[in-house]
Amino acid sequence: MPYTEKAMVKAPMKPSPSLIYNNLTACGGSLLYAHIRQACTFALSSLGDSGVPVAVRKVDSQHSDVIHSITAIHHNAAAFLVIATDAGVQIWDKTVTHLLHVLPLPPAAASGTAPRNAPFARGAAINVAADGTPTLVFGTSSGGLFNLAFSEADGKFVGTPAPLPAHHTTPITAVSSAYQSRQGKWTEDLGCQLVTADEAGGIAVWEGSSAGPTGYKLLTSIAATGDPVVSLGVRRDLIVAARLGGAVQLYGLVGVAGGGVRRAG
Amino acid sequence: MSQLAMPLLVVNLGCEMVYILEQRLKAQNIPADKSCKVLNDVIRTMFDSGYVDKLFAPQDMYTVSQTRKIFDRLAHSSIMRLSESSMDKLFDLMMMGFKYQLLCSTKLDQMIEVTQLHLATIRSIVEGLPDKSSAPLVGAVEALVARTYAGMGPGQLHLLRQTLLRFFQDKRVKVSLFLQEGIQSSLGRIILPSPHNAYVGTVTSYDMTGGLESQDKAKLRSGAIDPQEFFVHPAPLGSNLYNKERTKVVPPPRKGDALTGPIRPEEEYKTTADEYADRRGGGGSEFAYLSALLNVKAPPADNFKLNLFGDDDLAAGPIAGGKVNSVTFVGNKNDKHLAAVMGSLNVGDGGKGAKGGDLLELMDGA
Repeated sequence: MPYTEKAMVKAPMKPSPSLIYNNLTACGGSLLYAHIRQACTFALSSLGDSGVPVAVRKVDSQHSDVIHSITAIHHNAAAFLVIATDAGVQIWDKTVTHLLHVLPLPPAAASGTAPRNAPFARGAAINVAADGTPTLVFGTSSGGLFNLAFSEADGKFVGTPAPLPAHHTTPITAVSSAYQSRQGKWTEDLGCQLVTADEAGGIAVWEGSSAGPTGYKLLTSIAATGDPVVSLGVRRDLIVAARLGGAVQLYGLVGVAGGGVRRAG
Repeated sequence: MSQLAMPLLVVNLGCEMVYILEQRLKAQNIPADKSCKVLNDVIRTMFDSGYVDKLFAPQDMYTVSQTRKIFDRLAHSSIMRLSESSMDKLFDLMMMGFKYQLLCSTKLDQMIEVTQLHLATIRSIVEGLPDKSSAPLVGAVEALVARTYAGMGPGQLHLLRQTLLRFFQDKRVKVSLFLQEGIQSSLGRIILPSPHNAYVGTVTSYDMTGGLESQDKAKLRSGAIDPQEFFVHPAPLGSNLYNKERTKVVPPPRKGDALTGPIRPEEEYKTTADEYADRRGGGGSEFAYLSALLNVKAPPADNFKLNLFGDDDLAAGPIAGGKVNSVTFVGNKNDKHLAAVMGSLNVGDGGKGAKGGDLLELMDGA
């Protein structure tokens, strides 16, 4: 199988990135990562192999909650940074200078949490429902998932987060969709499927018909394997799932509606 | 975050503290009865059943300053007295020891193995003392650790590890022993095990029935690494590195810090022992070396942060007249639970007959 790499760059960075899942995202020409309670951003062009520390800007925020995931979401020309914390979700503009929305952790997210965990939000992705509504979906430590509509007319997220039907029972680790993986570049064959994964290693595929409490339904799922999925990507007919044990697995999405998901390798 | 991280933190840090104290007591030829009393008092306080029950209850992670308060009281639970500076440095040493063990664990359940090895070593220390009365307490904690963390899945263990590593993030203090034995680079960074193994790059394909179809190996540039840059210390993680009977480890020659590249000639890196020798006007004596283990110099303010939980009150004072930088820990305002836990710490009166002054003076006076 052909595989090429261009260059490997080791760049020292201060402050150091937290050891959370998927702690690197790109937004507005910059790369971003989370340092405990602060998002940090630096220009991609500043990366070099000279050993000189990268110039990092720490994002000023009045919120000092522990960050569990940092995700850039794109919709057409708009881009947002979604930071999931132990208090809920923050949505920033693409320059990461203005905090646009703060979504407190929904009460339902805190219930049913195993006594071993404090509640938190983790994982976020944008999906376009069948009725054309872009929706932000994020996960929580109780296994709950919530969706929030984006108003194209207003250019902002509206309403309150609505829960998806209950399915996952362990903390959500990753959320993705084909639209998320294509960074907001819409094509007709993308579909409106959302993929979610949890700490037990289970994966679920949802279909979004609209935003709101009845907008999503579970299509199919992959049973928990015990090995958590730490990162998800969706590309055309494939789900790419990276597991904590180091394996990257591909699952076929062909004929998912009612047909299940097949593992390709 | 995980609410079962505190027991691992306190138990492992406490065991590291006992390692250091035991080594100092031996090195100073402290009479056996006094050594035995100091160690038993500390272990008995740390593993008191009432305190342990509170510690193992699910709870949020403490801040560094709150954790230090616990060990401040523990260290003073016996006849020994530590100055603020000695306590700071003892705590730094404990922190760096456990941080190293966490970062160099390559498997998730290794955190539990490290904890069990810590406890087993402490139990063997106690069983070598004339008074073995605290041994059952250590055994009880061993059983509790096994019960609490047994059956935890990889996801929970990873959350536990993330919670612990967040506690230690950006904590970087140079330790003479670690520098000399290749555990830390000259910049104070922990040298990690190599991330590469024989399986990295393996691509396995399955057919539609789940049978193995093919297996290929992709050659990755990330595999072209010098193994010496990822030196792995041979001592098991959690073992007593301060044991004088242990064979000293000589690290392989290394080009420089694996992250930043070769050491630039214009930069000078002083080891803790060098700094201590400078302050004392000479070095090489056993006393100076052992004191240097405890007197860990805090690095410059821009080199480490203890802002792990948003505390911005840490202040590293300027060096003046040869005095060591002191590091001030200020507790979080929300101390209710801490107050309850601290209240259950049964710190007995260990002060009778003890002179004032720090550990070093105590050793001289014993």
